[in-house]
Amino acid sequence: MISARNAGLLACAHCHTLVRRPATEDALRCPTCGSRIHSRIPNSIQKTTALLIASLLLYIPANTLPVMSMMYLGAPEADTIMSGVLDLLEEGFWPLALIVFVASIVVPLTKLLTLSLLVVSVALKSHWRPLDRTRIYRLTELVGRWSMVDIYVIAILVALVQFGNLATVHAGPGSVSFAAVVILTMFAANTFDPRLIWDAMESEQ
Amino acid sequence: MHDQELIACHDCDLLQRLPDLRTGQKARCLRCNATLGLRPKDSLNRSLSLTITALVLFVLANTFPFLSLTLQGQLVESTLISGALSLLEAGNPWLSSLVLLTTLIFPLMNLCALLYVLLSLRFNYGAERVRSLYRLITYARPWAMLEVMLLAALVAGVKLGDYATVITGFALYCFIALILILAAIDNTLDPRLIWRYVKQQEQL
Repeated sequence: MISARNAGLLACAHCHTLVRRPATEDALRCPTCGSRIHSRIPNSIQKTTALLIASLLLYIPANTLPVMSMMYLGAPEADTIMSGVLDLLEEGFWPLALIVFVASIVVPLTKLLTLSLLVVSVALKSHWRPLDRTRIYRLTELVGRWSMVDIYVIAILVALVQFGNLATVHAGPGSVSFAAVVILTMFAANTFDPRLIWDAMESEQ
Repeated sequence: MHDQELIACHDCDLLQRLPDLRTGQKARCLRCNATLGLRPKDSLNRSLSLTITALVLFVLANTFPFLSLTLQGQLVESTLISGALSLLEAGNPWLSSLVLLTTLIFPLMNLCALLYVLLSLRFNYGAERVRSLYRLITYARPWAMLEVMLLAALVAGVKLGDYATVITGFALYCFIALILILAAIDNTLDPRLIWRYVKQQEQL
């Protein structure tokens, strides 16, 4: 079992072409697809940490400020992410409430937690369950996009509920923060290099 | 077809030989179980026909009414793009552009680029653009989120059902079909096929 890096090779992240590793990786481009290539994403841990801190800060306004306000027969009603889920639950659509709860509350929160855990474990050169950590990473990367569902719901409602004095919907100040959390955590997952998990395992062998 | 190829796993960097895959087989990393390669049946022709289908559905899904709402005799119709436009009118340029990019521009750009790439492979013409176009697709793909939009339509419909009558439009059914076709493209398209073509072209 030898990694490409230890064999003096490096693989393109986009087209998987193997290249002999030169003395310096600066401005090295893949001969097949032309993207910049690196043995490991440069400053992966620093970038991911910075993005995680930014999303953690934005997570607070995203959940406390209203993401949407609905005006129905003159009575305004502001919804936060959580109250939107509770509304669905009260109306008896618990399967949908569960999906939205998972997509907009569980996923962003676990994403922040698992990515932080991964960053810390890599920084400490941990040997703890590398396979499970890689799986967690893949899952994080896969499910992150589903948190966008709330933003799209707002977009659809704003477009549809346009009945003048009768009923209107507006996007609230929390929605931009929430969108930013989703985007930033997606970038954070992208900048994390899962190969670092396995580097720690090999350095001891 | 070709020799057992030496590859490095994209998730754990383990160096290994990719076995010659039979049709329908998938190769997984020995160490971390990541999918390393697949060999779908008749990949090029099937992906091409699916991509054309997807583009037709994409146009239909964006021209006809998506969801409509009636409240006390008033009717409001919306298409897929209405959400982004209404957000812009209401003074939310950031949300508007985010919705526009992830549900219209990136998905459409990806489909058009993929159509060019597959046509180029099929008819061996215009190969010089394949490299940059397919690279563009690999970069933009995570940001096309049509399937999430479908879930959002379901949630929005249920939320409004209490107050008003929700009418599902023709575009919604096209949209559902589009999501299924896009998932099918993911399973029939072999990226290695395209990169191998790019490599061959450069060696000529």
